[in-house]
Amino acid sequence: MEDICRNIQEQILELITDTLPAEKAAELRHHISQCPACSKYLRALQGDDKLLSDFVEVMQQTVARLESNVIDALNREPSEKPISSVSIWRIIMKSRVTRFATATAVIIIAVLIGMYQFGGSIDGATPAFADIVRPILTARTATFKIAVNLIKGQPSQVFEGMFMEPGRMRQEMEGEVIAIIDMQEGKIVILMPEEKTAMVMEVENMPDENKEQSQVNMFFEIRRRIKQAQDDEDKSVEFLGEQEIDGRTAIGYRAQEAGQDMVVWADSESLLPIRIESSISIMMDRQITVIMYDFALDIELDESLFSLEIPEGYTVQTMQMDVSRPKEEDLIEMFRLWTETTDGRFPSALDMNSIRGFIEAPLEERKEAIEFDEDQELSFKQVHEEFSRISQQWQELTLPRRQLWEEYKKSSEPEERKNRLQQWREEYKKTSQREKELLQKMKEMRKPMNEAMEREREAIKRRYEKFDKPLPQLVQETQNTMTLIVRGIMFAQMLPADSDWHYAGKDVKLGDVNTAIFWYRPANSETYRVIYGDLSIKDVAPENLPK
Amino acid sequence: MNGHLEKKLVASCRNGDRSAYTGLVKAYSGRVFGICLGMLGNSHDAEDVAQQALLKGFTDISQLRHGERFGAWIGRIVKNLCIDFIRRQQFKRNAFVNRAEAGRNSSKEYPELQGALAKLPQDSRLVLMLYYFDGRSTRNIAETFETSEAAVQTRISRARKQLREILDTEGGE
Repeated sequence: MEDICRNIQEQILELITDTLPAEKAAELRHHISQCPACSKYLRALQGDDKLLSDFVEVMQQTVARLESNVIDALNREPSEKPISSVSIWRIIMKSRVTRFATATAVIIIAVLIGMYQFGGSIDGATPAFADIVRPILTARTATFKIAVNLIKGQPSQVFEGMFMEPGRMRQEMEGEVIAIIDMQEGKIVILMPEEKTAMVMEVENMPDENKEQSQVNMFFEIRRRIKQAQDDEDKSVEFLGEQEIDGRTAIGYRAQEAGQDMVVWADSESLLPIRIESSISIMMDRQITVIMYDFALDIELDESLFSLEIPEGYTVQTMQMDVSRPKEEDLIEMFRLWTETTDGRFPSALDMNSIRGFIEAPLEERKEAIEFDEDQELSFKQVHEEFSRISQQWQELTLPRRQLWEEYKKSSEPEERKNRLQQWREEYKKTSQREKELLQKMKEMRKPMNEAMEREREAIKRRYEKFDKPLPQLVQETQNTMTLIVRGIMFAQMLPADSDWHYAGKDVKLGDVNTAIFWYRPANSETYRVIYGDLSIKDVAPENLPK
Repeated sequence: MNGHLEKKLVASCRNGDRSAYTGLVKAYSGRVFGICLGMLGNSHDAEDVAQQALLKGFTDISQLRHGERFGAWIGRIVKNLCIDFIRRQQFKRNAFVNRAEAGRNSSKEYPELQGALAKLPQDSRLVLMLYYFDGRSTRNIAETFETSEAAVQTRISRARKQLREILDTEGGE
């Protein structure tokens, strides 16, 4: 390239942003029209400009979401401002590693619980409900999207889902993680193409009758819920009427189960499903919602999509999951692990919701020894309470004024606007001095509050370090831990009603030899098995049981 | 946004009028996001930090003395939060995590362009993102960086040139 062109190309950058004087620009254009190299360079820059503009255009969706999130947060009470707290789940979900480990934990829990939960027949269904759910219950194959929302107000994670009889499922998250679940084969294969890593979970000791009923498969889980809603006369199936969904007229039914909703929307004419909104009870957060949409039923799907074979070049890690019926030893092991992890405390209850507490325990602020000085902690609490109190006073004081301002803005009548503005001014006059005092107090408190929040953030960061280890190791640890926890809890959950089991471990500390934390009567036994706070076990006659 | 209106909105915010802040959010969200994207290099983190910055803008608005300077002021908040975020990211030393994070954070949109932007020096990426996200106004950027428009123009030209070189090397046109 000639030097003159090199110089000119420098100026072309100015030409395309219209910052060259007209005369100079004309000269430049003349050269470009004669010079293929400079002409090509100009076209390339114009192409870059278009590329950048298109990219920015696409990103405007993100900017719009940002605006809406900020505005939503502003409309909440001051104590709910997201800036003032760091969400544990946010931290988990921000790291691909911890997010993945958490997802693995969920799969493990689902497999284990799924072993022990059963669906029923579809007879005796509410007719209309049966009509709209039949395609789901009878489909041989299905594809759909699954949007999982873990944190209210945050965008959902979207998976591509595929289902194929008998009981096979493929879940794919943006090509990053592919999970193939085949309960007939007793295997779950998780592929991470970027890392060329595969994890194989081999499900061992699974009773045959459970293979088809495992709710690890999300499609099966929806089927199970539908069946349950149809079967159980105590649970209501409510007709929701018609609604426009994705441009189609849909009819909807709500089925309730143990306080959780499942809403099925189907096309009013074809009765094919459009959208299923559900919450999954096995998840650890009560706010988790799952929406399935974009259904295609009974379409041709290649068997290879559900292949359990590991592609070449992958590093494979195999794990075993024992899903045999849990025993008393599993409960003891669970207690041991739980108390080791939570500073000697036993679970507050023996149900699936308490698993959430266990998973969050090592993450959550203040739940384990951190370098917080107790006095500092107390002073933060006091300052925070005082801040909330003053903030409340400020809210109450300024409420009439804010309402007047809203009315002023809404009003289109000049006279009314004038009146509102006048009232607002009077209200302002009346309250401004007191408001200043309150704001000054809040300002003075903000510094210690911010310092305390910074300490909290640091504490969370330290906890986060624990996850700073290779993914396979993290997943293996997660699997080991969650298997023990779920099996222990399932032991109690699966005991028959006449076992008369009781749990009294809440607030008991490990090592308390005199306090019974759990007792039950084994089948055909005269005496009870009693587990104490030091994890010792005794056979006890009914009359000697704790009152 | 004109200085007079900006000043009025800031004054209303100081009086606790949250809806007034909505106007400022709408006017400045592009700029705030552009700075974050420019400094952090990926849209996921940029969105998070931009949200924090805009909320911090509201809670700290009583500290803003000259209402008509909101743009420059929020720009400083954003930059400080980005720097803070980058420091925190450096805290995560494990190479595996960093690699995994980088993978996760690459949006699927315009991968070649995003790859090239990631290779730009941070100051060039920042000025470029700000230019495109904030209405192609060198004046706004000059306000944010508290510098002259001529200096901004030079920086944009340099960034464009660097981007072209990267795209050329990568086989783009």
